[in-house]
Amino acid sequence: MTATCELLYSGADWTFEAIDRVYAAIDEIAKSELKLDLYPTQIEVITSEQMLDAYASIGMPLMYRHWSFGKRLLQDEALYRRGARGLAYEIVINSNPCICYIMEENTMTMQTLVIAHAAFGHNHFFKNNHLFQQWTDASGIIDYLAFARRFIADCEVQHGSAAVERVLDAAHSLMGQGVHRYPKARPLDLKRERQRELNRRRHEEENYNELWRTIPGQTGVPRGLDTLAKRRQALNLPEENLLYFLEKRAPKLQPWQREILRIVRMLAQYFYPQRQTKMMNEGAATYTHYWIMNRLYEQGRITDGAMLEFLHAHTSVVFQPEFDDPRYPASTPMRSASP
Amino acid sequence: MYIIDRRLNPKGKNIGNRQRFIRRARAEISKVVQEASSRRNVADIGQGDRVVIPSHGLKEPLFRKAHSGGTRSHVLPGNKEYVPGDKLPRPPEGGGRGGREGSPDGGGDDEFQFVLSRQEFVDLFLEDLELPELVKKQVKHTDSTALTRAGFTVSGSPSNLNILRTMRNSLSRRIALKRPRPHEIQALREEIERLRAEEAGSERLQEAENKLDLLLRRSKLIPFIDPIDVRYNRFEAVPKPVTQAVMFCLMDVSGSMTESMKDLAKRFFMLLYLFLERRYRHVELVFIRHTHEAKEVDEQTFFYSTETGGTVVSTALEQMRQILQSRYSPADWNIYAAQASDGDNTAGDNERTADLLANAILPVCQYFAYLEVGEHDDRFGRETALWRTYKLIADLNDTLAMRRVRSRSDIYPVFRELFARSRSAAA
Repeated sequence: MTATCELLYSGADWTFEAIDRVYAAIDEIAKSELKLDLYPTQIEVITSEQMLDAYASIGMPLMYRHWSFGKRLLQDEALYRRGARGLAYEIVINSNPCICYIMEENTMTMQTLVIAHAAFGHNHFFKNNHLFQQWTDASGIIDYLAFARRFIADCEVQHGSAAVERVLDAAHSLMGQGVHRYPKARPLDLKRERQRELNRRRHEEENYNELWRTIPGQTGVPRGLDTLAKRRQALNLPEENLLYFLEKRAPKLQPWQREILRIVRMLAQYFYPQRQTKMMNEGAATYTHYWIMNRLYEQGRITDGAMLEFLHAHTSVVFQPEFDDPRYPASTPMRSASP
Repeated sequence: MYIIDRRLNPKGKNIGNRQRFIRRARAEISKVVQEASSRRNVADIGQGDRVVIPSHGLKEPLFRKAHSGGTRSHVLPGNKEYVPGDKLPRPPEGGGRGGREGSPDGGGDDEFQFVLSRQEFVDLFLEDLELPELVKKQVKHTDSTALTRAGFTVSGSPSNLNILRTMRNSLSRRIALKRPRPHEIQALREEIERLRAEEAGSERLQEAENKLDLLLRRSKLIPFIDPIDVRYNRFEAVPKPVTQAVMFCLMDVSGSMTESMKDLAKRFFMLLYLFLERRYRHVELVFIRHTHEAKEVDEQTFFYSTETGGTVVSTALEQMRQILQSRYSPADWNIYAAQASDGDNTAGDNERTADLLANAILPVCQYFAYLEVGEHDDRFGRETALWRTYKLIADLNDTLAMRRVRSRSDIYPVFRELFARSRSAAA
């Protein structure tokens, strides 16, 4: 491509038409040059108030009701109103279609940037990263959240909100311990099971030796499992996922309580790759937006001013904090802010 | 790609969560809110407020790695003054906390701060307080009534005729009784005309004529609209609750009332006003201040300007009676009064005061609160002249309530005591 394309937009104000044009331009670059593989995108324009709402529900468009979300909302609101904290320019949801919230306050350049960043960078990452593929179901999450919300609302009606709150409180406190970190071994199908059995028997036959029977001290009774091991086996231990364990094995829980544990566990699992891949995810998105913005500039589709605005935004959030940065708590190794 | 404009979506997606949070933190929040009554300025008592509550009880427990302690090793990039081989001092214990203070998203770990809306504030402020006699007033005054629709009736004035109902009844009756329709008769007539022209005197003609007779007879016997079809809208007179209230603030502003005593009184009035405002659609305020003579004044003058003179309480009551007569008919208004005084009264005036109060004021009032403010100690049981006078009336009359208040922090408890739900339940 040559640098002869016309400008996509000029000035700071965004319009829906300009967003359409920008999206098409980025789409072309992303698919033909970066060869990104994307979920279809759904861009939603929201206000700052709605952004705060989205913060409270962990960025999800739907969430069941719980007091802790209200607490988070009040906290964020207080910080925001005091001016202690700005709001994110976008939120992107790992769903199919990929939902991407953009703020109405953004300038057109910022909208271009966040579309390149979220709707393309994160979107590609969500679709292709193996952890997301392994642990999350992008096309089902919105429906699942709708189900969760309805289910918990019904529970509140049936069992009282205090009882539901108790279960949710407990489940939330175990959320960090409610994820499967490794995929379970797949149960074998019949054919492979039979093959394994055959192999085992052949091995026994090949290694059969009468002498073993004559060794003293053997009672002839096969060495059974001792009781502790038996109990462990019966409970399917060891199990690292506490919520899963409680959901399946807790003796006193009601079915609805188990379902709530399951809902919290599913959400924890859904968010688990986000935490694991935070750095890589932001890195991929940042690389994508940087590449795309530069390409747009090379093609002459954004103005010098827009490019400078982009670079300013880019450099003020993408940086490596000094090793003695006070924001390093002892536990967080590294952290890169992202637009 | 789709762009969806969500900006016009309904707001308050998180209201449910917010309410759940406030319910959860209710104990802490209402403690803070109630302290506010003694701490805040008069003008903004009804405003929403920034509320700071201790965050224990709101913590969400989590299992996670500790912020400090243990042996850690980090590889962090960057360097300022070190060369290879240098040893870094271990940060002092609790260094993690210092770090968190500097962090942009930490903050407020020990205290939780947020803004309550006005409505939430007032609700918590006045929780389980009840106005006495509210119900009684609503039932007592049936002279102001409003008509409300109350179904249908078979009798009524023509102007109330419900045409829809009537025609529906008529139609179903006509169908049920098989009243012939006009176009059926018309068709039969045309048929007869045709038969007459073509085959006069035939059997079919005779048959058709008989049938026409039958139809005509039937349509005459079965009327289009029968009196039993007719329905009228029914209206019922429902007593209309009086939704407006007037609140009289009476205060002694003579020399013996100090600024701090006035301040106490002001706080009480303020609470009462807030309370009434929440219960009634419309609340009016009348300020009457008195020395040896009484005057109706505006709020500013009432609270802030000084006046000297003697103390004749009956003048204020007389003034109130006159205003009641001229402007606030007890039939249309819920009348509340609160009087604040240090209890002094001119010796000869007590009898007249008692008479006015018992015979002219109390019978029309919903509630009359007498608040005696003062700094002196009453441990010796020294009762003021006015207190003794009112005490006699209060013993006989539920409408009058009286309390002593010594300090700011007394105001809210006294207010609660006066208006507690249990009192109205007992009354």
